[in-house]
Amino acid sequence: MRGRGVHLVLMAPACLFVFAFVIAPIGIALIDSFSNEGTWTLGNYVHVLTEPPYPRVLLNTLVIATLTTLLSMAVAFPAAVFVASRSGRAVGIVVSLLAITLSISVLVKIFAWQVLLARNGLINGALLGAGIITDPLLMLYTRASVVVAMVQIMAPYACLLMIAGMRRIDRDLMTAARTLGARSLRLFRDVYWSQVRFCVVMTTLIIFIGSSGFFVAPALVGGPGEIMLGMKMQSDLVNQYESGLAATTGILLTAFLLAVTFIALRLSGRSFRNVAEELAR
Amino acid sequence: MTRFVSSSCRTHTLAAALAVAMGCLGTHAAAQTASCHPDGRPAGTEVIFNSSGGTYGDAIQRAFFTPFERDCGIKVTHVNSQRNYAQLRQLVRSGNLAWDIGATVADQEFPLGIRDGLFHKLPAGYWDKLAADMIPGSFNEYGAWATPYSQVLVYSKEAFPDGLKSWADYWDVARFPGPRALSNNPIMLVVALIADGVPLDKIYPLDLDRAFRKLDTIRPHIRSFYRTADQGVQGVANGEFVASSTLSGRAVVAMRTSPRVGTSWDGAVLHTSWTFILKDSPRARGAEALLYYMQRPDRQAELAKLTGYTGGNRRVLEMLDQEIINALPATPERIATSSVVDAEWWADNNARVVQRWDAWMSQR
Repeated sequence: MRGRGVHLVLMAPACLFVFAFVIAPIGIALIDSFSNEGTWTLGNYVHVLTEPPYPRVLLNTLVIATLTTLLSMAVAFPAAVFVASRSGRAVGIVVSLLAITLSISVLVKIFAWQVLLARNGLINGALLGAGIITDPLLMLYTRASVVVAMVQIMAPYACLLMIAGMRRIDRDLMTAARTLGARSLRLFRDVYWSQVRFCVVMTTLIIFIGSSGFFVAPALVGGPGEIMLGMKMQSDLVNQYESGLAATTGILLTAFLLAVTFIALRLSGRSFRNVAEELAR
Repeated sequence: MTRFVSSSCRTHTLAAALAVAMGCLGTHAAAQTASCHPDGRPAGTEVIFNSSGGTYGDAIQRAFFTPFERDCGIKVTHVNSQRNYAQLRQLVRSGNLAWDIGATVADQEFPLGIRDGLFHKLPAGYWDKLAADMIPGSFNEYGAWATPYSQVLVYSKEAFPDGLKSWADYWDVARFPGPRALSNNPIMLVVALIADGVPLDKIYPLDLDRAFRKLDTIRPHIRSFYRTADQGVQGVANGEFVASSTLSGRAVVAMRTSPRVGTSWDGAVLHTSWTFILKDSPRARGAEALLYYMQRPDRQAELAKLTGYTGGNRRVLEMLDQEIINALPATPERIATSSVVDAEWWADNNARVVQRWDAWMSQR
């Protein structure tokens, strides 16, 4: 009985936190999205799913987030495999360097890209100076510049998450498989991948979720038309004076990401319950 | 809850009143009798002004609030909060006023606020003594211009030493080739109509189809529809763009710091922000006195020296150097070549126009 009381007291702050910052805001947004001047309606959803610019913006968001996620994983996966297989001081140094890059403000990173990619910027200057090109390349204010800036921001997170996960695998199993004659492909698929699958899929998911909510990168280095959901929500809130459309967009994005999460869990071979139990251990 | 807050405010006010009264008794008893309210009667002891802060907040503190406290014996509490119109409406309707007086942050807010009954109505005769000094249209029974500011054309003097003269030149990619930037703001529809040859007095009601057609023709040459205030002018300064729209104050600062930047004021789009008092403000008399004080030409001249922006008092021009006057967006000469934003039209049409603007913007 006493144990249960302590449990409740210890749980209370976390529960309050989740309620105040997760459940209550989503509840309010749900109500906002289904109501219009006091009446219940599906109007906001019809509007967001059919009226321009929402479908286009939704597509932009998914394409940019997918590209960012794939490129971040392509950069981070080999690096994480390499670092996780070392031991000792080298790992500490790489992990702290990664942590330092995370402490640099996102805005600073994006302004740095503005300087590098500009028409009179460093890259164009070097290429022009070396005679490789005769006219400056248009690099800033394109979809590519948005994705590059976002990959720079997301890749360190991906790397750190995967290093943490990959360091927990049982390397003796690899040695055992090799002594038993497994070829490298089989070794990778049956022994290595099966152990790291969960961590890689989860990292991909986290990077995708983070990328789909981006605001500053498309706003500062995106070209005309490079509008993502966050930017449209901001425009609706600031210019339209009503939260219904922004709430609807947010709810749709949340629902979509929830669906992606379920698919990712399925891909990783786990279930929610399974993961929760693992985390609780 | 509301009652608790206001009663505790009242005790606070009382204490402040005592402090001010005692201070005045000790030093200059004469100052206390001279009221800063246009009707000459006492105007309370405290007022709370809300601004978004930053360098502009510092400037209005120096130009208006600190001297107002000294001259009028009314304490100004300067609070800073960002808000949008929905939050302003919510604030007034809840009756739990966190501040008394502030300024609009978008053109359509002033007419919308009047329609929605959010603003305190100034007493009859309030403007009588000042009216002759003020720019026509810069004041009414709910407030006065805070700071007019305009959207102007900036260009690269390096690319075009003779400069661009007008928005028509901005559209003329044969004579003035090169990448351009434009503000991601539906007010650029006005710019498109000016470029298309619509006379300044025929801009409203906006012919949206014509404006979007004109924008279609320049879109391939626009590299960025920027969202942060000085991205366009900064791009002109560092060579990223050959021309852009920007706010007049940013253009003036950029011309001081970069030899590359030139400005054309022809066809500028003149916005105005308004200072207003919240309906049912418990310190309305203090706020009325402050609003009145903010129209003083010497104070507005001080603001112009600090920021390059000023209010609606015409006598400011007698007190400033020509260099500063040239940078002001609302002198009579500037207004003659500007399209003054029709806030009523925007209040009626903003929601619809923004949706169409965002849809046009997200095309590929």
